[in-house]
Amino acid sequence: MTHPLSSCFCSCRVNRGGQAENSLFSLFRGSVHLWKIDRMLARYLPLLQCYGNFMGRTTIIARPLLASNFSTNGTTSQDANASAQSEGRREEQVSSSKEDDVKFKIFSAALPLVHQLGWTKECLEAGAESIGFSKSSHGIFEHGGTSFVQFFHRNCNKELRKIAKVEQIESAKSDELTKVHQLLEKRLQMILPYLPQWPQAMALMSRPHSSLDSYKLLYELADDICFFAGDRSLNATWYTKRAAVAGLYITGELSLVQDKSANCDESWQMLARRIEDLRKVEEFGGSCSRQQEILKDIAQSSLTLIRNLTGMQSYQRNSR
Amino acid sequence: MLRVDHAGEFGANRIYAGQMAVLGRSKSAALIQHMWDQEKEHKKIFDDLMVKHRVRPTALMPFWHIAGFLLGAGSAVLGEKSAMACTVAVEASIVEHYNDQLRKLANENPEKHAEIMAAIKKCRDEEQEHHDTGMDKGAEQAPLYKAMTAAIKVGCKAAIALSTKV
Repeated sequence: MTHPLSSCFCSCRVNRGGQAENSLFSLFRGSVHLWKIDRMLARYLPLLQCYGNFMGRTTIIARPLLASNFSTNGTTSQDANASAQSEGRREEQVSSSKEDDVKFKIFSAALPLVHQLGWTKECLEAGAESIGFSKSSHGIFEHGGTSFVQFFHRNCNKELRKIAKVEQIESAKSDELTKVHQLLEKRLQMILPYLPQWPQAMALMSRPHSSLDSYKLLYELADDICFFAGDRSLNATWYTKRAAVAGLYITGELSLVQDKSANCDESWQMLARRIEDLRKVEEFGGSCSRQQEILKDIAQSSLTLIRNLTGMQSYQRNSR
Repeated sequence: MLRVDHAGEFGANRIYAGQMAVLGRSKSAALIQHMWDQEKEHKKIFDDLMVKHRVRPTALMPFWHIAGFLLGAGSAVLGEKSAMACTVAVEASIVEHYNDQLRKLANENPEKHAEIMAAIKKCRDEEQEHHDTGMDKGAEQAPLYKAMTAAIKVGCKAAIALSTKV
């Protein structure tokens, strides 16, 4: 170990036991450590991802709520779904508009039952039965509870678009941020009837395989709200506005889920305060661009001053 | 498709702005101003189309804002003929790009895309006019004409490819 020749070729280090070890051995030990860390991550990361950031939510808020309400057995329901789908495949032969019709009927029948049965396949089954469809026709919602929640979101977005189209004619005078506020409030109010079961819905949408859909839905929602509030920008502010609206929606949703005040007043006040913050940011941006023009004027006039002082101005005039 | 056209017109606007900033008091100033005004009209056409079809603008807008200005100013600093050469190169790639788009739209469904096709045709014809004007004003006599036009054409192709996706 301490042979002079070996110390020329390998750098030595002394470990905790006081023994010198060469770098190859320490590399080996390091890689064993890394392997252990990797195994640990492989075991726990999927679990973390399931509870992870869906639309910016933090696990600290979601986890205690999930513990009390989250009851889907993801893996077992998928097997049941497969067998139900082979029976429900009859539905797939009809045209797509008829399929949407059927979906909407089952969905509307299942919604009132969400309070007892949660956002689950069982709720869809019960809804289908209550309007006379066969029990297995819940298979039209391919992923059970997750598809249920996605359809709910899509439906809410559609409703919001209808409301916005009506209001666009009426409230043409209020400014953009006020309209954004109104539309956001209306959209958030649509989830109020299902608030006790909403953490379960949020958890379903935050799973990795449905996260792509949830980002798409959020993007559509932010785009719709900005468009109907009158935003017609076509540069970088297009992106910043939609990001701000998406962030506001998520904050509103999270706040509603843990709000204990009467009529969720605290959440609505928080939303109003966030809109005021956005308004201040806008004013600040406007004042910045005004100051930019002033700076330009200052720069131009100082340049002229320098030219005058150094005689360059008269030189130019004389040389023409 | 509308996104890249909108970005292209925005870029062209910035290029002419850069050229005017440097050559604002030379003899080509009037010509550059005229071409710039026509580009502003084109941009307005595409603005309206974008809003009508609710298309997302390209995320690289701030980048084109700066890059276009630098290209215009840089080519103008090298001289009036270089500015014309830059115009020629940019207009050539834009005309080629519009022709590709027109062919694609015509293959798909001419009636449905009639409005967009008419807008692109108008812009393409005026860009061709700019190209010919640039050539007339002695673009080919600019120093390093071949190298500069090749470089600018490559840059335009890259910009078009990027703006379609991003």
